[in-house]
Amino acid sequence: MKPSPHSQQATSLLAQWQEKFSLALFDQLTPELQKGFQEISDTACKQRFAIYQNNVFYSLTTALGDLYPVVKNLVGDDFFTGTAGIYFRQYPPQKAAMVFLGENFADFLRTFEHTQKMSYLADIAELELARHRAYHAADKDPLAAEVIAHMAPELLASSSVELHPSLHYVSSSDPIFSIWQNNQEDIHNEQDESQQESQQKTITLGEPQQVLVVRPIYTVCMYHIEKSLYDFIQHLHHRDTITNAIENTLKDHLEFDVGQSIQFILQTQLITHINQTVDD
Amino acid sequence: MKKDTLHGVGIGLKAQHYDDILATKPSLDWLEIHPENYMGAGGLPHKYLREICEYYPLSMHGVGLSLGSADGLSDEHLTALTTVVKRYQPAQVSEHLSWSHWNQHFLNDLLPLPYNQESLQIVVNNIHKVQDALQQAIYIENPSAYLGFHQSDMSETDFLHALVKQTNCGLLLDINNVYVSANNQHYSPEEYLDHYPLHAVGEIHLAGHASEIIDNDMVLIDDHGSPVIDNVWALFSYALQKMTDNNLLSPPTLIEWDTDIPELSVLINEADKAREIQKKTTQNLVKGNGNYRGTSE
Repeated sequence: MKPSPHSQQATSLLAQWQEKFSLALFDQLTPELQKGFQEISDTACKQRFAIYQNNVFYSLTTALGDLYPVVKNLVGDDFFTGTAGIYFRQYPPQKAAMVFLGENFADFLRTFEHTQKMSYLADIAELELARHRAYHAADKDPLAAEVIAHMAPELLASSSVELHPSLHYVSSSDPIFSIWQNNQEDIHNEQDESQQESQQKTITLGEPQQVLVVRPIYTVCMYHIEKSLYDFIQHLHHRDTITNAIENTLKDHLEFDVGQSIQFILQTQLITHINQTVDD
Repeated sequence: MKKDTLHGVGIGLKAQHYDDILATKPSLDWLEIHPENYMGAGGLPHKYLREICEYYPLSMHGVGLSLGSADGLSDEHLTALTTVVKRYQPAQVSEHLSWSHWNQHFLNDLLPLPYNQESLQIVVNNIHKVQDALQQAIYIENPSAYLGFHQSDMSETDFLHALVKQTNCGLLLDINNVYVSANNQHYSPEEYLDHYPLHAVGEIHLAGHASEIIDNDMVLIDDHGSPVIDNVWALFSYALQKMTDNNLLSPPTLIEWDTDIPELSVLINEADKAREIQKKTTQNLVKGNGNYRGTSE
């Protein structure tokens, strides 16, 4: 947190005081600010002010940890707390509601010097943010599969589709879907380690994975998909007609399986509306 | 959706208790939420809240408006609050006498204000703006304080009297905060209540707190993470008795619990205790809404 560029022009005494108070929360209590406190001893002033400092950082760090449980599990609690402290100093929260907290955490992690060896960490953060956004996205009923099944094939082919507002996708040069899955046991502590064999799979770093996140009704669903299907869904999202989306995908992926991909889109309830092209 | 006025005793609605509340429909008079938790567009939180509102009257207790910020309210946040209020039509909306943002940096804590004419004018202007946007009176909660400031030249109770007079807002009397602040700043909580504008109270909050020794002095910390202590129950009785003596109705009362959240039954037991005290101390009558008359000239 940096001083306001307009601070010299601040006319209100309260504005100047709140600037000093805010900066001290993110740094340390200054003698100038402390002079205004009614507490008598230096220790009392510092430790009572620290209650506010702790409240700010504890509440923000807890909210960030709830949003990024896998990142937190991967780096460990203490490292996460330290990282969060640096993150909030560089990127103070821009909105009051905690549902909007931490939206640029992945950007921060991409350049944070202490996590550079974990190349996948920022992409994991992006995936967790995608899940969070899907969870809170607008509700919209998926189009019933029968509606699509009853359409004339040539009409369907020339139509574009609207995809669910909760749809997000993340592509990584690392196996982020597998890493995410491997961390779920640790996070939820659902299994008794002495009795259960680990479900964890071996991870090969550097293996690219594409993940699709969608919440058609109320449960956030996540799919590891082929690059061809990932590209196809992106073409549809950009309002290509189905025919054009297929053609554009085939240009880059000769192996693209049209039938299987359409079936996937229907099964996962991605479509909320069909925009039919009207021929005169 | 129930739009009744509030009465009796409610609890803060926590996501951990959604299913339990819908399955058991406990005998609570109302529920309170933080509107900030419902500022997402859709999904499960809204599904649960819609269902729960079929059975319980709702109150909204904001934590993000920052009424004491010298650089004004966040228009974006006020718009988001207005949207949630329109969506659920709560019986009451409340906020804190505190500040939490500066220079568009949101600190997620209820920070203390010095009390003087300058800060009064800022809070008054901000309350006017909120009440005009929501077209209803809001209820302002007294904060818990860990520090006092030389810049203050009026007491918290005088400050609250002035807010009520200048904005027609109602007040949310947080008994635990009175106890915490009085302990931390070495004054009598009963005397505070003797000077408090009880006629404007439309809601009471009760909660637990933690403690810490700082420089040989016991400092209480308002963490909402434990049962209400006996001294706070006694102060609650004291406040209700004063209201009864002044022919004031018993305000709707809330049990708050925000950290280390226990099973629902623990909160229900606390609510039952509050209800017993209400019954013992006063006639449990229905209190109407605030007396908002608008601010446009």
